[in-house]
Amino acid sequence: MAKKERLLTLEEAAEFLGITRTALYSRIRRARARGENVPFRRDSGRSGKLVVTLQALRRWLERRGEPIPGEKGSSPVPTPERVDSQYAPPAERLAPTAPSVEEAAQPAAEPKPTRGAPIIEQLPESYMENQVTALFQAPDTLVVYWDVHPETAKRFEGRRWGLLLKTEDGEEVIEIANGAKNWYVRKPNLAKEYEITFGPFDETGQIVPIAKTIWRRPKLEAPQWGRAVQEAGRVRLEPVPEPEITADVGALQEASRGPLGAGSAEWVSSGVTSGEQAKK
Amino acid sequence: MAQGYVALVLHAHLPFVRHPEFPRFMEEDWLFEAITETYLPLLEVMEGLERDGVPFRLTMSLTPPLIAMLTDELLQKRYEAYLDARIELATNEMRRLRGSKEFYPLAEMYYGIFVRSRHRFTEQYGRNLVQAFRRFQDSGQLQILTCGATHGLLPLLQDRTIQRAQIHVAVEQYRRHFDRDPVGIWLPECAYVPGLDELLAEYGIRFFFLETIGILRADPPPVYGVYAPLYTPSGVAAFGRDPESSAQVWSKDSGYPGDYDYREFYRDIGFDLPLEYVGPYLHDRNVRHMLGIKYYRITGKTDEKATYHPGWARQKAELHAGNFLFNRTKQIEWLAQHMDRPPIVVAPYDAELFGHWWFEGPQFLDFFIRKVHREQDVVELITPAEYLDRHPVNQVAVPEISSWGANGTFEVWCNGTNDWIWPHLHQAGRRMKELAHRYPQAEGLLRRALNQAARELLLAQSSDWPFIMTMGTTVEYAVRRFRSHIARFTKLYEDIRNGEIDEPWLQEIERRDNIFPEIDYSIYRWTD
Repeated sequence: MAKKERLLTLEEAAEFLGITRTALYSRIRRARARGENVPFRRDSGRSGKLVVTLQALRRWLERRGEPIPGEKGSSPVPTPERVDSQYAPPAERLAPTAPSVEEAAQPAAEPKPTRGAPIIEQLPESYMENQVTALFQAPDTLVVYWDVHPETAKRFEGRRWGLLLKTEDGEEVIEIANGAKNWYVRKPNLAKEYEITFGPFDETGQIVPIAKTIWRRPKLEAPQWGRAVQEAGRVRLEPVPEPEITADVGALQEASRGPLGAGSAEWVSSGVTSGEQAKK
Repeated sequence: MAQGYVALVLHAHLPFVRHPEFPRFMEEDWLFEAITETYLPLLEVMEGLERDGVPFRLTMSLTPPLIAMLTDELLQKRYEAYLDARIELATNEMRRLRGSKEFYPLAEMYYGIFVRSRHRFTEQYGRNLVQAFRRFQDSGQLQILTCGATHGLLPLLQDRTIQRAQIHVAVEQYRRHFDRDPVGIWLPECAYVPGLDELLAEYGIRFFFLETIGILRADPPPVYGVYAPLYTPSGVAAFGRDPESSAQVWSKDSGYPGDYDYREFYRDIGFDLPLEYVGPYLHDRNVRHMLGIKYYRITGKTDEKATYHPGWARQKAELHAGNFLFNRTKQIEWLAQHMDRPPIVVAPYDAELFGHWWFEGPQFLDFFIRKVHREQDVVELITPAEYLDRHPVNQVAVPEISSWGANGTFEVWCNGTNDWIWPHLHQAGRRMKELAHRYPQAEGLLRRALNQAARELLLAQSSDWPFIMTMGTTVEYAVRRFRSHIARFTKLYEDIRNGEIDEPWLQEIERRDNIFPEIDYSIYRWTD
């Protein structure tokens, strides 16, 4: 029967190496993060403590090219001052996960380019083009944003700028605040379609168009009742005759009414402030 | 025979957070906490039900970023290190609290949770939770939904090709992990605009979910309210959220999770104990954050919190599950009287509510499902696909533009705090299409650069960044992430256009932003 090799605890292994338990644990964590095969395992017989055999520990040091204490040719490892005072805070003595100086140092967030274009984290104010875009934000709000080419901006320097909104019911001119990058167009109810022109005002108060966009509420035609059919990996609708409905439609619609948007945003925004709330 | 159905839908999502350039990274804890507190407990619930012969039907999204993280080797290893640290901390707590009849059992409870999580994650599931969930889908008890590739808010991306890329990449990833096509999708933030369903139909997706208002304001109005799905003109079904069952769980005022006996989320030893004691477990010794060990119950609207009693909380979870079932039973009985077909009550929640925010949430689900099985015959659990199989003929209508955010609109993701992102996203989208058309058959280094540009664009599109900006928490991180992805995309765009690809730099960002290794940039050439 093979002799079972004695297991070293983390403390014993650290003592063998002449370093603190904390430093050893940090080293283990970093090695694991790098994908190294680390010989420390959890021992169920010791309440889940990290343990290692002396032989495995020596092999690991060899693989890492580190000196093995007590072996010929190894350099002495200085023993740091220990914190064994009864007054030391308990975590200092017990917790092995303290980040090392190496871990605490935050490397630069962006890798440095070696050639080609630079990395510009400060995003551009303009993409050098004249354009306007409308986004549906809510049934009563369109968010309109624009971009102006610097040459265009220079050409109309000093002018007031505005939006011309055309709907089937008429036109509306909105003068935008100087320097604004977007505008929230609010209406009691949005029209089905807006043709939006963006530009500076001329001397007569007319907008000189430099960019246009159309926002339109999608309008789709559909049969009243149907059946979904799957063909060649796609879904399509097959119309069917409208069945006889005996349901109490009014009561069902009334029962369906509830608070709007009581989804994640409401729950997550409740409670006291905490960075944890950003999680969803 | 049951009079109606309940479809429980859990939306499991986290943004893609992975930082190999740092030895540890605080925001990676989001994933680790969710695994410990939500995903493993949910699997445990399903295993328990299966073991006890309790049939169940659950619907759950696993979003592509979450799948990417759950199957990432680096994050799997880091999760084990995270658990090792928590085991150490809980061990310390057991030593510190030895002799305390009040707190020692709680420290022991956390020690047990962390040790058991370590064992289950590593030994039982071989680190791959996606395959653990897949087993329940393969046995027909769980229906796993896909989502947008990076949870992009599809309506505001506007361009059809850009929207399609979000769907296409998600479907491809789903096929690789589940060996089948997705039958349903959780639209990111339930954000819908008419016509989006046509994209889903292209991929054979049969259904999606909408905020209540999206159904109620459909054109024509829904005959059954939200208690039956509508077919969109493309044939993809839209299921509407039931406001009543949602409010019972979601409401911050009257929802179950606010019960005084439940565990208080915000009282955590990361904030309660001396910095010199918890410091070694913090990412920065001087910056406190939660460490997942919490000893108090909600107690009431007071700062004087009382000790948590797991037994009391468990009783409450059972009580609330019974109440939830009672209400669903009454609701379905009433609805059945007013309908000429069995009603379906769709109850969607963020998965992370169960366990992470609401510690006892998994117990609640467990009790509820068991009670549905044993204590009544009015309600039957169902998945949306099963419903459509049983009731294939439905009303056709065009749902309203909507989301499940505040007021049912898109204002959470486009307001004064975050509207600045949209011009950059739209510009990057146009540039990506331009690149895909300009270099249709790229190979080698150019192909790698184009594929990485697609990844950076997708990562920038995540709805999580504008959401965080609105909520005002960890804003700096969200802003940095957004800027970083756009900046990386822009450099790739310039370098590709100038024929000057920076290979060492490209290699580094491929290593960092390694989501969707199989991506093919040519999806951005596709047009209708």
